Amino acid sequence: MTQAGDILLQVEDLTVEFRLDEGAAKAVDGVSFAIRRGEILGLVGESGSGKSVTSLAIMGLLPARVARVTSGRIVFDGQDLLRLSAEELRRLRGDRLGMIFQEPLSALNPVFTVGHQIITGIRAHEAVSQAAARARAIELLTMVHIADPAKSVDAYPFQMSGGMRQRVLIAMALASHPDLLIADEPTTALDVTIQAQILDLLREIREKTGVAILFITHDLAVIAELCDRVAVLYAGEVQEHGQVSDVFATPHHPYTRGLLSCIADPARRKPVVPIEGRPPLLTEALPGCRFAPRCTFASSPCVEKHPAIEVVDAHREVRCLRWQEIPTNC
Amino acid sequence: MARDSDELLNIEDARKAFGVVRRRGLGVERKQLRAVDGVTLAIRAGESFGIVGESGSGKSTLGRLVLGLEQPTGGSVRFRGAEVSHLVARDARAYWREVQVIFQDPFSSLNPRMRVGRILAEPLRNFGNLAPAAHAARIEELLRLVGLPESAAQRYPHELSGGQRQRVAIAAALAANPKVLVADEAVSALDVSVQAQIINLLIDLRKRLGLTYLFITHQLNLCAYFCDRIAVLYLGQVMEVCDARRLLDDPRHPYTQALISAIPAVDPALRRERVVLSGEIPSPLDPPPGCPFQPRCPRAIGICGEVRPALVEAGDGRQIACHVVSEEMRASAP
Repeated sequence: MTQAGDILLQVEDLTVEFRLDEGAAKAVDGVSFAIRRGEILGLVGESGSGKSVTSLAIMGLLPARVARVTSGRIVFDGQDLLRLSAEELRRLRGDRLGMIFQEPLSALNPVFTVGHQIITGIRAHEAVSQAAARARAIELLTMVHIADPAKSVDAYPFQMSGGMRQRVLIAMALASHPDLLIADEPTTALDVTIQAQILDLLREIREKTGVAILFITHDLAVIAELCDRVAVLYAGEVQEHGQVSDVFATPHHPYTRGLLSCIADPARRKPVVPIEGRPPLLTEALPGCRFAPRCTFASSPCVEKHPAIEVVDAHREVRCLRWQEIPTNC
Repeated sequence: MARDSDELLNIEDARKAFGVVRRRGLGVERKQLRAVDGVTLAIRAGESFGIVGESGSGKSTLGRLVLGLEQPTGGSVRFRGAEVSHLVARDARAYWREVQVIFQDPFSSLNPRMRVGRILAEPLRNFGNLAPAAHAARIEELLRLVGLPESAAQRYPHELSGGQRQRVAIAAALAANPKVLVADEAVSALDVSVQAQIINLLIDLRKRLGLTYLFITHQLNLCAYFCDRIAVLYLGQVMEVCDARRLLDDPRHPYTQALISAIPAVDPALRRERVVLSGEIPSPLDPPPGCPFQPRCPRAIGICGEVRPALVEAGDGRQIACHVVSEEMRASAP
């Protein structure tokens, strides 16, 4: 077994372009981050920030007709995923890479039992008997705390609630003991009491199996509850990156700061301060900082010069020319 | 029945059941889905009243009863003392001049083939309290009111961002100068930065226009930030009604406590001790006997599974429907 803490996935300078009628749009522009074994990294951003496109690029699931990776490397446990053949990638997914999505109902086939779907997944990647795969399916359902797994294995998706369906998908994703679980807004469609259960489950599974998780969400509070580190995306770029506790306690980037002050939590006893304006269109050419048009700290250099990501310390990076002048309390 | 003079909406023991036919083997089974099951609430003029609940709580159906879009199957929903279903039957437009709505998804509530100017002209024509010659000026005024430039009148909905579309929906709702605005998950689909803009706009409009809000949402934090008072719904029934701030600081109903503890918090210092709820929300087609929350309740006692708890006064304007809390109040009473 490899030691916890070494790097499992390294995304380097990833750029993804979409071909649109209006021209090329960079949905992801020079994104870099790393995930260590057993670590939970959160990618947080609003609509159009590039968070889901990043995860699709990692899984090799970009819609090939309109999108392509124009630069960068995605190194998973030593091999560059962008150089693998479609067949090699297919084998890697569902074997060493597990995935869960937002809408558990559309990810399950309505005409087969959940057991059938888990068993098919297991047998596509391992040469095991039907009986052994079924036993394993029941074991997986037990692991994700599905009540009465020996019976639930024969249930159809429509007989389950949203929370249970998401548990089934987590079970399927874990079937082949993956090293990395990619979770794209897995709790967004769930009620808050069910979301809390699923977050507890993901934490527990990480403890038990040592799986690393790339957790994609628009919800900063969910990141704060679950993740070890966070990368804040805006307009296709990582704006800030660091330990969750550091980034949220002392945000260096005005966008992170702005997002935090948008949260309506009466316990904070602070008024909600929105970020005015809207994110730039992907086809808009902005020579300077992408956030400058909405930034209350922006000065003329911000509009003219595109900021590079700057290392603050060993655990922290920020893309802002003026980060040292930004008050960190908010 | 007596009505406090400043009460605008009186909901008394309101019920809404839908008939549901389910296939069972070769036959069919007819069932009642009790979406709203005996809700009593009074909403005062000028207040922001929040209705919070998870899936199946009946919050949207309750909003539709208030709008007169559904007829109650029991109890009453009254606006200024008059039965809403009668008001709508007599003159629906007159009622909707007073009570308006904004929904979650402005993309599906705005006609994609109309420019914003025409979208806003429709309610002006429908509610007809303005001469056609004055429409253009009123449209400009409405756009300004919701923070959109005049040029927005020339745009189609698809040319606008989600936040701008919701501003148009708000402007359309305000066209007839309503007294009450029902907001059903009005900011739920928006990005957090835009959500904050719309919340602040709604707060500002309330101050300027003296609106009464019925704010329906699944986001308790947002609701507590925005509202004066909150009713917490579960499976069609009211669990707790309380001043918003007090509800968040000191929830008394076990369901409210669990709901609040499940909300993720950004600041670790504000993180609450989690009350882990086992199990799922029961289907409103098969509600449990007694208190609807009892199968998941960490504090349930014998009576909870047998008798539905009544909504009782618990001091400080708070109302609670919980046998355990009622017992405690009785025990501590002098």
